[in-house]
Amino acid sequence: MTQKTHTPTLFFMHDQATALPLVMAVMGFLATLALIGGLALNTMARDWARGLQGTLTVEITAEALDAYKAEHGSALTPAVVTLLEAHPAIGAATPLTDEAMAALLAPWFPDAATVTALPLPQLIDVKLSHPDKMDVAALNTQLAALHPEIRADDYQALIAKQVRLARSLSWLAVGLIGLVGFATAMIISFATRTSFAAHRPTVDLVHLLGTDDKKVIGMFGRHFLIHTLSGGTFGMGIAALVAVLLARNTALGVDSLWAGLGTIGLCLVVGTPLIMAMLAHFMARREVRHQLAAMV
Amino acid sequence: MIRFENVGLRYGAGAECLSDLSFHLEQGSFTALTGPSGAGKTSLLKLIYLAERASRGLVTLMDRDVATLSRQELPALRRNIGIVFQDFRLLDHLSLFDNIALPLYLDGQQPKDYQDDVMEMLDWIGLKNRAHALPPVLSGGEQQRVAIARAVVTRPKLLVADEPTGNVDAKMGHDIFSLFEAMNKIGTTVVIATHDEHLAHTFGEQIIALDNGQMRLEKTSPDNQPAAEAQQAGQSTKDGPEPFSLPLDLHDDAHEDGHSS
Repeated sequence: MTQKTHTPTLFFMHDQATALPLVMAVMGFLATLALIGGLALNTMARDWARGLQGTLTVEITAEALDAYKAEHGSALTPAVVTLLEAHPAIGAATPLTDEAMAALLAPWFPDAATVTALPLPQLIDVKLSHPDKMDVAALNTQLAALHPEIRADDYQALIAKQVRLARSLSWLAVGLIGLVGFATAMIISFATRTSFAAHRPTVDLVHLLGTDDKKVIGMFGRHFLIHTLSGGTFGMGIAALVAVLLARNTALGVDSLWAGLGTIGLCLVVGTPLIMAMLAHFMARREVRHQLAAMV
Repeated sequence: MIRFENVGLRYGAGAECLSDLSFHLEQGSFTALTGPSGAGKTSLLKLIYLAERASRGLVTLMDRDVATLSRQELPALRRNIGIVFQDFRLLDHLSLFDNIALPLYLDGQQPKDYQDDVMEMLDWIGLKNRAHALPPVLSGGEQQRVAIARAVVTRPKLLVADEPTGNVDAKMGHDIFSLFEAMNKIGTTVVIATHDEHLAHTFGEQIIALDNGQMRLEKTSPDNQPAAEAQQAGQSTKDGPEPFSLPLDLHDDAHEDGHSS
């Protein structure tokens, strides 16, 4: 009689229906979604802060323009530009042209002639050469000396709260990933303990037959690594799909999502199941080693 | 091979179940362990096959002081011991082939390397045609034979059996002891716990009689030992196990206990 050669399966022969991969899929989903959200928010906050840093907008109302011309016989805008360019913290002050204003208002007033006829304020785009030296309140006092209806708007103050909110949400995502990691470690620890207890007669036997602890530890470690890797990969895939659908159906856009993640972010997302699996492998081995240490 | 000096064993904080055991079993000896239920036979065997460590005293096994061995050193020592458990401890999800091959697999051998040895064992115990069967479908006697085959497949230096004849009839019991005797003849040290005083005195060179955790060592008369003559005729070596051809045919259907399926 010929016996087909094979390696005997000592443990986990009835574990095909185990819920572990499903639980790990949920963990993988949560971790990946939190990671993508956190990275995207962090990138958005950084872009907002970078885009607004070093800029100001000065607004001169239409009434001020008219009143100044009537009183002084010259245009107010050049005087304001001269004052701005003389400021030590300002590098350049550029009034917006009529064409630029028309372009800004095009969504509401497609006809440029209509825009020209409107009593619009004059906007001056200011680039700061030394943002740290800029005191907006003091500048507004100087501008008010020319005319009370000239105002410098500091958008950084307005956007700062949004940047802080986005960064807080990023850190929240980091915390969430940490919680998912902790929960995964605890789940694997409990599952390993339960599994070890279920297989205790087999463990006792192979122990007495002279098996090294390493072999038993390795069997349990591999089992939990594979289950976590498969579940985590499934969860990561679903999370990535959800993120893409969200990005596609919102103002963010898929391209912005990928750009927001960056190469390192993408590697982290793809590597999430692997990191989870390594964590599971470590926890399972640690638990089995602990259990075996109690045996003679 | 085995030396006990003032050995005591207690489980947890309970009273000692073995007290002040002192004996020395030579390499190649055949020792029967007798005594009533609860006398401590299984506990003593557990100390010998390293399932427990003594609470006090000195246990030396194969010239190694067990108390000083680290956990990493124990597996190698255990691999020199063949164990026949009282409750067989066959793995129900593994075939007979895999159950017998288990010690070889755990020793790191490849299936293709041990296939012939295991099939030889299956043939020897009369279950070659049921290599793929699972233990639960076997009778008690058949399971006993598989457990014995698993214990001897590695040709261990020390064979420990706990009530190996508890599930078989008198004739089969005698044959099993004859098998252990045959292994003893080729150098394997044998320690068997049994209720059967007749078999113990027939085959044992010495008898450790346990009662309530205390022991009494008896030497049996050589006239009672079928192996003695063969040993004197130079058919054995006591220097250690050597390859042997399986000496007995255990698969006589007349010995089945009637539960085979």
